[in-house]
Amino acid sequence: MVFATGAALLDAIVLAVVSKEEKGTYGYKITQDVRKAIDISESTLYPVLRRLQKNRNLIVYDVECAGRNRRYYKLTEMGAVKLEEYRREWADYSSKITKLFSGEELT
Amino acid sequence: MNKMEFLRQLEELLRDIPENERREAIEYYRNYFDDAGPENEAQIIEELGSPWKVAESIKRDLFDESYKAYSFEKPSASRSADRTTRNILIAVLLIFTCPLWIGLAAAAFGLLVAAAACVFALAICVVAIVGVFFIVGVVLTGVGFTKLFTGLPAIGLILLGIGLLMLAFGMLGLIITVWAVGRILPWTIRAIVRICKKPFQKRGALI
Repeated sequence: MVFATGAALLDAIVLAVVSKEEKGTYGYKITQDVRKAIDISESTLYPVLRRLQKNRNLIVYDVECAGRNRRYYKLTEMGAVKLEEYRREWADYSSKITKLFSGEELT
Repeated sequence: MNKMEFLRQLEELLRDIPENERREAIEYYRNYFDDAGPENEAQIIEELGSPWKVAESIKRDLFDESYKAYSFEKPSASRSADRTTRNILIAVLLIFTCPLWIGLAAAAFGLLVAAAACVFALAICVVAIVGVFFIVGVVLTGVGFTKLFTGLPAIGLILLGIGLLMLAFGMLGLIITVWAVGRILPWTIRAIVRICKKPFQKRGALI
């Protein structure tokens, strides 16, 4: 991967990954899913999840599982709105870059 | 290094962040190890790098956030705006306090004029005294000289002596006056100019 993933894009990717799981998902699985799309180190995601949680885009809750607590992350209403905003921005951004790369004239 | 050792070191390294942040982070990574399963433990430790690296990523984000919150409160672009606002405030303040400072300025000006008048009066006095000494000295010298040859040499001699003495005093007074004017007057003028300049220099530094 030659392109750097900035903070906003990383937030958008994590929101998208979490939004796929209706009942919420947990740290390890989020990391595995994000790594299917981009190459990041395992230590990158905790600060992102914490930040999204603080900004009330994600909500956390504990679920008892095999005798221990597992922390789940779920999208909030606010997070869904934010993700939609990121999707729009990305569609605009990526289509322009794609057009530019394919030699089309930008209007 | 195993999971327990890794988490212990991480906790140690996060000692300087708020307790709830530290607990959250430790809980997350404990969860992470548990979900990955014991079979992946070594691989995860290897991928995470060192506890130090993980602690750094957590702290950097915490610091970034507090920094952003700070810079949001105080945008750097407002510095010049602050300055303009302050200058306007100073101008408004000057206008509203004009009865006060006009009075003070008038008093200061009056004092200055009075001082100048005093100096001027003193100068005239000195000139007058020196002038009198000269005139009297010349007259007495002349009278004494004539008396010396017209019958009363003793009185003539006394008058001549007094006259010459007065001329000498007059000469001394003149020299002192010239010296005083040459040295003290420029110094006084410089001092007055300096005092008058001061408020403007101050304001220049403010703006």
